[in-house]
Amino acid sequence: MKELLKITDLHASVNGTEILKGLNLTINYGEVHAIMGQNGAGKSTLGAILTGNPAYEVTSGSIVYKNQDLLSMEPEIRAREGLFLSFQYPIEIPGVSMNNFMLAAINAKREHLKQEKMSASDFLKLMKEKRAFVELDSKFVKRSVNEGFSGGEKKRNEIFQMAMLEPTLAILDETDSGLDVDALRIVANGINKIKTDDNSFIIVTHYQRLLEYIVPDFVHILADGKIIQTGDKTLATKIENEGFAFLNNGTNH
Amino acid sequence: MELIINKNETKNVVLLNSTEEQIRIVQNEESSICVHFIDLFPQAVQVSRNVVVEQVGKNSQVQLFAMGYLQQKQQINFVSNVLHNCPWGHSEQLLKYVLTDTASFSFLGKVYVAPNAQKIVAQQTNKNILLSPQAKVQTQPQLEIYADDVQASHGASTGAFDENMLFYFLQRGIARPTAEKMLIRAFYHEIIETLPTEYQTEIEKEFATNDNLL
Repeated sequence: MKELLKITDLHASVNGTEILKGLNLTINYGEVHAIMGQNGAGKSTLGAILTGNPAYEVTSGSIVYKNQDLLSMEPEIRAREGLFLSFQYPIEIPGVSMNNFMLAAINAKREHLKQEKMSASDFLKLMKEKRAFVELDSKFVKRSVNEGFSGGEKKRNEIFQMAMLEPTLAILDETDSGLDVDALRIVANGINKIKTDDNSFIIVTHYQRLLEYIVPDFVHILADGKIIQTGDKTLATKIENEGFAFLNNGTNH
Repeated sequence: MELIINKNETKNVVLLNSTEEQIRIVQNEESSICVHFIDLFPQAVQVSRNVVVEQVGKNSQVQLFAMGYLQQKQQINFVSNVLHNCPWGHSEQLLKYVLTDTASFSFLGKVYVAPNAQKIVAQQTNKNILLSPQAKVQTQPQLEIYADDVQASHGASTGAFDENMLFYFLQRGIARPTAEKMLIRAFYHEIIETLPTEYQTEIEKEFATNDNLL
């Protein structure tokens, strides 16, 4: 097993409040990890820290990604090195078309990898191919990024961007929340098409329902800034049936 | 500079990097004038621009568009004075400026509607983006309306780019300077699209000579 990410004793805070309190997590290439937990457990903080959101501060611990010190890398470099966050609340960018936005993102990555810029025709072909993954129509590329998109369209757009950028490690922050059954199926199918042995996923979720489509190799339970239990997919089922309450009786708490 | 717009005449004027300070426009009946101020000065500049539009004939239309990128110590003080002296007049003003370094911009937008000038529609909007905490903006609408059947509106906003928005670009691998340029272009878009086509090309050239914009 080749190691992609190793988080060791991570402590992090936002606005002076400690959210992560000694988190450890190792992810190998090709694995799907689900992270479950109640509100305020630190699930979204993990994604923000991994992607370098300046609003969050790492107070101690280390993160090694692709054998490099992740914490010393700028957010845009992390992205170009294959780290992708599907935002819980995707941002609207009025006046910037999906086309221009994706072209800038693709070419920034290619420049970083010392590849030539993508030709206009290859780019359009790629956009068309990946749009089909999440069933977005052609008008979508001319629209401003997320502006006026429905909740479901925003989530599909995140998965579309993920398909375009072919990340090595994708973090899906509650991508399933607020989706109806059809949108959930579209999003899940999109993710399954992107999934290979050379990339890994962290799926942050409250519910088991996305995990019915994307089977995780590991399920972690995050509580009070730490992973308190790790299991296989049956752990997610247990949470679905019993809620997080059973944890309070657990020996780890 | 004085522009007399004749009865039924339609005129477009584009002033690119103009340091002209006194601009007077007189509009006769059924005339239409559209002025664009494009302020992308390559050099240090301080302009106190005073634009007076006098509608002396009914049913005249004026559009004033201004956009600019002000840097270093560049300073523009923009005063507009639209005088609706006759009925059925329209005025639209849209000013959009981006400021960095210690640049400053002020806008005083006066709209006057005479007692007998009914059915006037007057609109005024000023939006600015501050890229540096040292850049300064002051904006003030001043409406003086003596007719009772008038639609007049004004709005202003000034602020920095939203950090969450910038982070969204960063997370997709797009560095901050590129993200800012894309957002500035988006900000100008609604003015650029009102320009005559030949000037749109001209503006693209202007952008190309400015590292901060392209």
